Amino acid sequence: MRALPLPVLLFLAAACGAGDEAAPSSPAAAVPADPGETGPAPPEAAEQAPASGALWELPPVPGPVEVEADGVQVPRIHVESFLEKEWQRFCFSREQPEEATAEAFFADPQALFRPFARDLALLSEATARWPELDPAVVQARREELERAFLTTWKALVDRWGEDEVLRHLEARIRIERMMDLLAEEGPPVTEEEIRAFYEDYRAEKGEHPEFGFPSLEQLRPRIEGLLRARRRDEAVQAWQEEHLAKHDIRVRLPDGREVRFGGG
Amino acid sequence: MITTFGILLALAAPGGGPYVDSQGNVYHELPSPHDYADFATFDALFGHEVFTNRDGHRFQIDRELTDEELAYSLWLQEVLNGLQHVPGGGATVRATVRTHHPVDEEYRGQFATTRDIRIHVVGEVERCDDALQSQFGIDFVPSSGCAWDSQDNGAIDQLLDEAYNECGGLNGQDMMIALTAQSNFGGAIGVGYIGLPRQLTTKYFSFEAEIMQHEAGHNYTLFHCCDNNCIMQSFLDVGAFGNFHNYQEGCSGQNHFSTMQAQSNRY
Repeated sequence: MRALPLPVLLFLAAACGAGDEAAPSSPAAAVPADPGETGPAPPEAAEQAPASGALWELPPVPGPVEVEADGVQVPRIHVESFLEKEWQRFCFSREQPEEATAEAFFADPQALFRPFARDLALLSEATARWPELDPAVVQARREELERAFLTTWKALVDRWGEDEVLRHLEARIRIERMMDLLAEEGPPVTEEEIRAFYEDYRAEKGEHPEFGFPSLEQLRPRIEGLLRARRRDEAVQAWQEEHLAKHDIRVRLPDGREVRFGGG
Repeated sequence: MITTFGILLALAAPGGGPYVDSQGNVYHELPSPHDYADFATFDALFGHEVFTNRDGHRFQIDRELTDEELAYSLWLQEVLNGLQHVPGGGATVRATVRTHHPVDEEYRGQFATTRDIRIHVVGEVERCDDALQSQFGIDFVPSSGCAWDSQDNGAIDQLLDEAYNECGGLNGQDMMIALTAQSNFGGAIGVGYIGLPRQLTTKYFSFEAEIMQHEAGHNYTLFHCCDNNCIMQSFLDVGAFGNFHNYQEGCSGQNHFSTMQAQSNRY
C-alpha cells in the first residue's frame, strides 16, 4: 500500500527490463512464449498443461476443404476460419465436444456452406467491381488494426502469415464497400423510425425507479446504428437471394464430394 | 546488492509486490480504492497509473464500481443489450483467433456442469469480440478451457500468472483469457498485461464481456483514457462497450481507434 521511494530502482529496472528471463525461479520461464514476447518457446512447453485440468479442447477442424468462387481459389484464411467457427459451434452444441465427428459435421453440406457461399458471391461481385484497391487504403486498414489491436494483429500474422491477413483485410474492405453500396440503394433510416423505435423500446423496458430511462439523444447513436445495420443486412440478403444463382461456388469436401451453389 | 534485493523481494512477497509505478515509487501491494476516502480520490491518484510487477509485466488497476455506479451499470446493460446488432451479411468471411480459458474453482463452482461453464464462457467471449468482428471481420474461437485452482490471497496479477503457468501458457492458442470468481483483490475486477496476449477477468456481476474487452484493450497496448464513450476509461463504463475513441486523446496519449468506417455497424 505505502509508496516506498526506496533507492532500489536499479533492482527494479533490472528485474523489469529483463522480464521473465531475469527470474529463473519464475514459472513463466517454462511455459510457451507469447507472440508478443521474445525468445523461443521451450520444447517441453506444450506438455505443461495437466491432462486432468482440461475442461474442453476443441478437436482439430476436419479438412482439408477447398473452395472456389467463380473459378478463383478462396484463400486458406477464409476457408479455415469459416470452418473453425462453424466447427466450434457444432462441437459445443454437443455434451462432449470431443465426440463430434467430421462425418456428422459434413452430413448436410448444403446447409453448412450456404451462408459462406452467399458471402463469397458478394465478395466475388465486389472484387469484380473493385479489382484493384488503392494500396494506401489497404495500408491504412492494416495500420488501424495494428495500432488498435496489436496482439490480435500479431496473433493473426503468426498463425496465417502476413500475406493471408492482408488478403483478409482487402476482402473486408471490398465486402464493406459492397454492403454500403447496396444499403445506399435502399431507403435511408428516418428520424420517424428512430423515434418510433425508441418509444417502443422504452415502453418494452420500462422506467427504472431511480434512473428512469436513457433519453433519445443518449440512445440515438445506438438505435440509428442498429437500424442502419438491419437495413444493410436486409439489402445484402435480398441481393444474395437474387444473385447467388449467377455465381459459381464449389466446395470440395475432405471425402472428395463436391457441393455447388449457383450455377455460373 | 543481490542480497538487498532478495530481502526486499522476501519482505514484499505477501502483498504480491514489489510493484513500481511510473514515478519509481515502490509498493508492497497494489493500492485499493477501499483504502481511500472515496473512489474519486483513488481515481485521481491511480486511475491512469501504470504499474510494473516483479516480472516486468505492465498493467493498470481496473477498479470495481461504486454501489451507485454498479446499480446504474446493471440497468444500463439491460437496456443496451437489446440494441446489439448481430452481424448478418458478409460475416462468414472472417479470420479467427483462438483463445484459451483457465477457469478457477470459484468460477466453476457457480455452474452445474462443465458444459454450462463452456456455454457461458463462449457467450461472454462472443460478446467481447464484437468490436473486432464488426470492424475487421475477426472472430475469437474459445478453443480450450482448463480447470485451475487459484490461491485465495494472491494479488490479481499473481493470479493471472498462476493461471498462465498452471494451464500451459497459451496452450497452443493465440490468446489467454483466464476467469476467476474470486472477489478479494482489493477492489480490482480484471487485469490485462500491456502488450501480452493474456488477461484475467473476474466474474463481476454480468460484466464479464465488458471486462474482457477492456482487458483485451490493455493486451492490445491501450492505456486508460478520459473519453466518456470509450471502453478504456479507468473504471468500467458499460455504456461504452464496443467503443474505442477515435482521436489523439490526452489522458492516454493514444488514438485507441481510428476507424475508416464512418457508418460503423458495431452496434
